[in-house]
Amino acid sequence: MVPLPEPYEFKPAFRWYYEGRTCDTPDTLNPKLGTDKAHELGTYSGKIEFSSEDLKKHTPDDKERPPVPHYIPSWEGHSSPLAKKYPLQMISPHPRYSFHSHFDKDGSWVNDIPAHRQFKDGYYYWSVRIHPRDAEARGIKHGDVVRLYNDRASVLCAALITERVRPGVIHSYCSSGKYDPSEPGKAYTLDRGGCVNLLTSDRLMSKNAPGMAPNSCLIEIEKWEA
Amino acid sequence: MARYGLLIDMNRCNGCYGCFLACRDEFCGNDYLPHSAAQPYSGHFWMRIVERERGAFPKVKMAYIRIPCMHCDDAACAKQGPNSAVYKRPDGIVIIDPVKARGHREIVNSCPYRVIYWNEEKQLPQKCTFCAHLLDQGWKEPRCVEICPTNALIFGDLDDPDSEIAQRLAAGKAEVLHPEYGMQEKVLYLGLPRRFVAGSVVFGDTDKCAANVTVTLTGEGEQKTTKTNNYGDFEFEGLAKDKDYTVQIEHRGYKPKKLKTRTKIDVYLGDIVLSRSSH
Repeated sequence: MVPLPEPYEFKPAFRWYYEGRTCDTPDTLNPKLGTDKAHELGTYSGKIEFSSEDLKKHTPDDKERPPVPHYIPSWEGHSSPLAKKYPLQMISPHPRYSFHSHFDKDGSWVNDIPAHRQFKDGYYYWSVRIHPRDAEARGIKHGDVVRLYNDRASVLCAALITERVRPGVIHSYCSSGKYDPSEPGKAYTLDRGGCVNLLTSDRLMSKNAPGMAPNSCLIEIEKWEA
Repeated sequence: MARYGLLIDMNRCNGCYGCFLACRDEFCGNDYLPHSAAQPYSGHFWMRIVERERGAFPKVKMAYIRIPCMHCDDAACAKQGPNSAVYKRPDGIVIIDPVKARGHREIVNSCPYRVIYWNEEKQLPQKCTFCAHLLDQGWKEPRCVEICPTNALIFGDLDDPDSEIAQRLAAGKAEVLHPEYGMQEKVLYLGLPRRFVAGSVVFGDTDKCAANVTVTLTGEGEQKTTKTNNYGDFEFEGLAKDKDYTVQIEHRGYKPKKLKTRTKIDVYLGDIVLSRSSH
């Protein structure tokens, strides 16, 4: 563990606002920092806005990022037409046992953590979490090599059957540090390395919000027998 | 002379695998003679972690059971090896001599905990040494204990009444993983998983989470009572394995409900709907 410097002053985010002080966090993008309004939030009103005045002024017509946040059915989710062909929703959050692809080099010790990779037939496959109900319907057993696919890509992983995901949802970490295509140099070939974000869309969250949207992704899974 | 032991507090472990990685970092490719030869790059799990999933969606709990060498006072491996190839140091640490034990594969199979690993290249049985080479240099604890971010591992002198481990053990709640082996293990556990019975209560007439409902569990000669939380959830933890229990749910204005269950596995009873009583 990295030791903290002594003495160390804890500055939790927004504690200053709660206690009515001026901003004491290194929030360099805060336009009010160093002004006489430094005790306010960076919003137009200076307060927490349930309806964003900023978005109302600049992008009031953005249906995908409205001024008041609320549920909007996904453009690729369980209620979209594509769900008939690819019924499983895949979520691919940041990995738990590596820092993005960092420390995930080939042959790394984290390979021996079963939630990260599983050793099968002489190869370390990336783990993918499947609910027992979805696995049983497809004849998939714990540790089986499975193919995740949709119209964008095909990726091989090792099945980790778990109750920790809800039925209909597939969970696999993004950021595998290994891309191992069956035909190198050719896009859309089968990847054995476990880069599951090959399956996700490259579109942004909305035309005004430049964030990636990898959790809106429908796929199907099958047992892989090479 | 100290008598070293390790206490593993299961309630604090979140399964980060820091202990496992620290162990590999210390021993892979590094000889520490006469205590240990280098651990191979992969295939050995001197700090093994067994993941046990409990319950069913959405009520799931994880138990990360860490199984290093137990450094038993009455170790089975010490009886197996020839010519004191396996011996216990005065401080209680059990060491497999990396020279004398060469070629003796039977030492691997002597351990009922299966914590001794065979090094194919060196023809050597190997296991956790409590980082004896570091303790001899003045370290207070092994690498796995030092790295643990939640203090789930407590290392120290079992015979020193002022040590943290002795004080934690004085509460009498710690246990060994397999008491039936009877080998006087010096690795002890707090909070080993037993069984739970849980459920979620719903008011049938309003389809709302039934908060603050009285739930009573009866079985194994005892009775426990709890209240559901804001989400209508309740849980009884630490129950006996493979026994019959009855869950009784009562709330004013609703018909009482009784459910029978057996703790063959951890039980999640799912949504339990209460219907209005007639008057």
